[in-house]
Amino acid sequence: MINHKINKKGTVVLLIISLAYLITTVSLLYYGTNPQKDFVGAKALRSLDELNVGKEVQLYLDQSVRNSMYLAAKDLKIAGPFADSCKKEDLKVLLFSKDSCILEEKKLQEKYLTFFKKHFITFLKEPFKEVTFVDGIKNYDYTITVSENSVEIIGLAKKQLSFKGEDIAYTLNPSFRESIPYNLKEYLFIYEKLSLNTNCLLKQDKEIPGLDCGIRPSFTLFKEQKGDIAYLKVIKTKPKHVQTNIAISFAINLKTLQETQNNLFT
Amino acid sequence: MRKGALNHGADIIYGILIILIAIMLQSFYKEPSTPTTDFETIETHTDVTLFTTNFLSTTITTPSNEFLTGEETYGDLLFLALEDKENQAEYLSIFERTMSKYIRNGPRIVGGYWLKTEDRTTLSRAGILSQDAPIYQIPYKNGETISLQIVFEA
Repeated sequence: MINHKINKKGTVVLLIISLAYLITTVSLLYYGTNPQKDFVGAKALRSLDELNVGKEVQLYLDQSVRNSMYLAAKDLKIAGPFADSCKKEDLKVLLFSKDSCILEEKKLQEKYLTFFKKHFITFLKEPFKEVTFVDGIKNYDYTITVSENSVEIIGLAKKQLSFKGEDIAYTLNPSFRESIPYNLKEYLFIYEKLSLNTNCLLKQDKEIPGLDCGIRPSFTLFKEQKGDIAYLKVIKTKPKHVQTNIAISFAINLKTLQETQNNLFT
Repeated sequence: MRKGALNHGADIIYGILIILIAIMLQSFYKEPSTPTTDFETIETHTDVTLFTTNFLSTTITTPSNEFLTGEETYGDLLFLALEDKENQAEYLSIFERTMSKYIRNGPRIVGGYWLKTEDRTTLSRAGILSQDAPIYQIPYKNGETISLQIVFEA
């Protein structure tokens, strides 16, 4: 009777020990020190691959900046270089009158930068390669530099981006410096030439490809006149750089033109 | 008699446990990955990343023409090809010409490439292609991407 009791207890203990052994063996096998059955050097290679994510993210950012710059140039061509608050005639900015807008370099740069940000934000909405663009476009301090044939935008990042891979984790600086071949200054040049040659422009026919009037012959003029208002559009047509070519649409009030003509650029 | 019977019972339990362990070990056993296969997969992906990032940020060597100033990058060229649909063929022909020159000078021989838009329209393709080749996503606009798949020759 006593033997029977001891043996029964012993069996239960043995059963528990055996089960524990079974569980330990299986979990060691399944979640062991090398769960992926890596070959020698696999971790190093994977780390290298994960390091490349930073490179991919940087290129994604750089190309996003460049695409946004081209798109901003296109937007400026459609919307025109003048501020939205400028006086208009039939939706065209009224130029060369007493109370009309004057094109200034700083405001032109600001407008271009606004268009740039409008597009850049769309690239930063979703994570790329599991890297989230912290604070989107607000993560940057922007500097725009305009030279003769190019525009450069520098974005200094306030916060770093972080990547966490299977084997390594790191942060990367998402600052950028990109320039595209785009003559933003040409708007100022054309505006100045237009203002000095308004009489020449007004004498022209409806459509003049290869316009002169102090402007390079790579421009085409479109003109329409309704009463005292002349509607003009000057578009750069050659070469065919669709994204970066410029265009200015405006109206001139013939009545008020003479009063102000001599006061421009004084 | 009772003692002997109990010992037999324990033997049966051990037997069952051993069989269970054997079955479970069998089911949890994973085929170790082949070093060469994994090495090649990671190495190819790394090479594609380097090739693609270097290639896309390179300035085009084509001189200034009607469509390009000569200061655009290959990445720009793809963007312009999608933006300027009217002259898309011009941009893509420059891309194809210059890419074939570029890939000949690379560290590994490119067997082929495949360039697709987000809606899977093929923009350009050349050489031997494989569905399994690594893909690099190039930003276009409004969250859309262009995919460039590079296949290296073995």
